[in-house]
This record gives sequence, C-alpha cells and structure tokens, in this order.
Amino acid sequence: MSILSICQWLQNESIGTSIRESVWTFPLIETVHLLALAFSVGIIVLVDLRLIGVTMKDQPVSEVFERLQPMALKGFAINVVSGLILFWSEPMKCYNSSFFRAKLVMLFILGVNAFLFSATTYKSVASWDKAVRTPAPARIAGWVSLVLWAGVIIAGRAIAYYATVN
Amino acid sequence: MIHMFLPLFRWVDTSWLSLEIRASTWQFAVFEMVHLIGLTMLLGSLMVLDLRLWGMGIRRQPVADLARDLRGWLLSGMAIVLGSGVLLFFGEPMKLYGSQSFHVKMLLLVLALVFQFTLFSRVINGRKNSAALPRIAGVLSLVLWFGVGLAGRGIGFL
Repeated sequence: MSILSICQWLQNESIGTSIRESVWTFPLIETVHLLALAFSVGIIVLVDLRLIGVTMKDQPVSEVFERLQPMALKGFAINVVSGLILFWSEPMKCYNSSFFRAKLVMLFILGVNAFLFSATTYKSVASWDKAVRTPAPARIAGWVSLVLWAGVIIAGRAIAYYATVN
Repeated sequence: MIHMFLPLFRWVDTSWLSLEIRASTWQFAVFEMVHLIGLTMLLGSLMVLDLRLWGMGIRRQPVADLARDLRGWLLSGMAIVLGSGVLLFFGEPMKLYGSQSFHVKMLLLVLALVFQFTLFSRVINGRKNSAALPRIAGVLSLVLWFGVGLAGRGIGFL
C-alpha cells in the first residue's frame, strides 16, 4: 500500500471528513496546534540558546536541559496529537503540499539532531556544564535546532497558503 | 468605541504602505510567518518565566535573575510580534476594522502590555512578595497573552 493510497483512504474516511467539514472542530484544533508552539518550540529554543551560549549563561547546561526538556516534550506531544488530527482531516492537501513534505523532513532531521546530541555530546556535559562557550558539537546542535524549528513554523504556515486540493 | 478610531483605519487604508502590501502576493504571508516566530519567542519565554513563578522549571535560579536572563529574548520576541503585527494591520485595515476578534485582541494586547510593564515587573523584582502574589501574576500573564493569541487566531476564522 502506497502513502498516496493511505492518504486517499483517509481523505474519504468519515471522521477526517467530519473534522474537515465542521465549523468549529478544525479551527479549534488548529488554534491548539498554534498556541502549543509556546510550550514546545518556544521552550526548546531556550535550551538551544543556552547551548549556543546566549541566554541563562550563569545556569549549568544540565540544569536548563533537564528542567526544560520534559516541559518541551509535553508541549511537543500536544503539537503531535493536534497535528495528526489536522493531517487526518486533510490528508490529500498535505500529500500534495511541498511545504508539508519539507516540514516532515525538517522534523525528522530535528529528531535525529536531538537524538545524536543526547546520545553523544550531552554524555560529557559534566566537563562543560558551566561553560558559556560550549563545545562545537553542542553549539552546532543548538544552531541546527534553532534554524530548523523556524523552518518548521514557516513551512507549517505555508501549507495553508499554497496547496492544491486533489 | 471602535468608531473613534475610524479615521486612523481610513488613513492606513489609503497609505502607501498599505497599497504596497496589498499589491504584493507574498508580503502578507511572510509577515504572518514572522509574526508566528515572534509569538513563539514571546510566549515561550513567558511560559518559562511564569512556570518559575509557580516553582516549576528552572527552580534553582531566583525569579529576578531568570527574568533578567530571559529579558532580551522576551523583548526581542515582543518587538518582532508587534512590528510584524503593524505590517499585517497595514495589509488589511478595513477587514480588521470590522472584525470583533481584532477589537478584542487589541483590548487584550493593551491590558497585557500594561500589566507586563507595571504590576508584573514589580512582582518579578519584588523581594517581599506574599506566597500567592507571584502565582497570580504568572497566571494572569499567561491568560492575557494567550488571550491575545486566541483572539488573533479568531480574526482568520470568525
């Protein structure tokens, strides 16, 4: 079964259709998806800013990372769930949107970036915990995250602007 | 009350900037994206600060220190969201004149700004706060700013 046929099946499936055609549900979920940015991306970028040595410089990296990461993950869970419902309600529009595809690719790279950082560079955090100028791999991970999250927001907004329906 | 401001909306409507933005196919969309990025910066840093007022998150740092650390980022986010907001306003002034969501948004925005720079900053920097005061300030700050965001989203739907 191809991705296209899954999208076509979802498109015609009744729950997605009822969300798409409802007056309130779609706007409501979109609003949740949008405002949850504050919990997810808004908090993640603060961790990134600490990694590149811009904010909370007098706080140990581990303090910022371990306090904020769980919150950001909860916020991100809201974004994932609301995002899946939005996708469910208009799968064909998403399938045909280059911005949606770009958004998914960026999210994937962000996931790999976060995983690699936690699995490698962050293991040695004890030796650079209080440094304002963190090791290069940490700074690179921070910058990659900042740039790609901005890209995710831009691409996400663009999905609604530029799309063909069928 | 909105009628009071009608001359302002009319002036914006005929301004060079408004015509320029409306004639462009991409400018409004770009301003909206910038607006969202500013919103993420502003609400994200407010969230971390307000959670700290509830004793959550970056707990080791005193509130006043955390507020000072976040200040630059928070104010940058605010400047981006306000700057792009003005450009969006120039992009569709007469639609906004007729939009109740926009009226509510502006009212909440004024309340949020006044609160943020008076009572809120006093609580943040206060040494002798009662236990409840910082929590109330944190909730109020989130309610007002998320209210602005909610009403803003309403402009597109209602």
